[in-house]
Amino acid sequence: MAERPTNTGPGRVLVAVYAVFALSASARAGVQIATHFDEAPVAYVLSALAAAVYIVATVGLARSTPASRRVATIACTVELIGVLVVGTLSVVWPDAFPDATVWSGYGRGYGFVPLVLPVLGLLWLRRSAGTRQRWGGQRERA
Amino acid sequence: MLATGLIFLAAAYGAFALVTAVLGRAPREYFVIASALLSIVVVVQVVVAIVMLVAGDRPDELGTFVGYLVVALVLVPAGTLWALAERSRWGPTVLAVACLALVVVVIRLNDLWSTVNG
Repeated sequence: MAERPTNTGPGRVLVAVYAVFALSASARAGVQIATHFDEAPVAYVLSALAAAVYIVATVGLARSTPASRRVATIACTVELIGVLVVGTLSVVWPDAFPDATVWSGYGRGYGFVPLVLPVLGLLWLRRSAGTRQRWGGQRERA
Repeated sequence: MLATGLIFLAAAYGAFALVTAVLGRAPREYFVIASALLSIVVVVQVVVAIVMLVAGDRPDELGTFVGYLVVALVLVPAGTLWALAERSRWGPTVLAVACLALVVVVIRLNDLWSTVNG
């Protein structure tokens, strides 16, 4: 199976969802930092970081070149690590996060979409790469 | 009132797009017209909100409110452009996502506005 573009078919929907998150996370981080940065600097820097990761992932998936594929893979990986680490920290150590970020509580405030999105992104990148090693696919053994 | 109507319209259009997607159809020309009509309602709602802001009503989180207004304006036109280039069932799915996002944004705008004079 040949490599297929990351920005067509289901990938097109994925890019759309990423774009929505890139837009809303950027707007939110911008407002937080501009209006009350002093209240929770760590949370707001994390918000801005999350927004940046969403933008990079959106562009990476939408461009669909070999290089942008790698960029998107890195962005989705950072995003998955981010949501797991920040999600866990916000649960076990809530005092560190006086104000919510997109990734607090594993993205609970956003219907857990922030948790599901990087997983879908990585699965889609892998699937559209069309390597012979598909999940469950038979690979000849010597 | 207007916001409730807008939520209903966006939800209905999103559901219609989803049905089209499930039936496996590609986006058609009438989606452009429907998206344009929905966008006009969004513009009217945003203009009403701006007029009320200028008139002196202030929600608690003004910055967030204005941010959501901008996002609301962008969603349907951008979603439609992105959807039309996809000649498969995934095109209408993109529109459904945009409509769902619009519903969420309008509900949030309503929440934020409820702090006016509160």
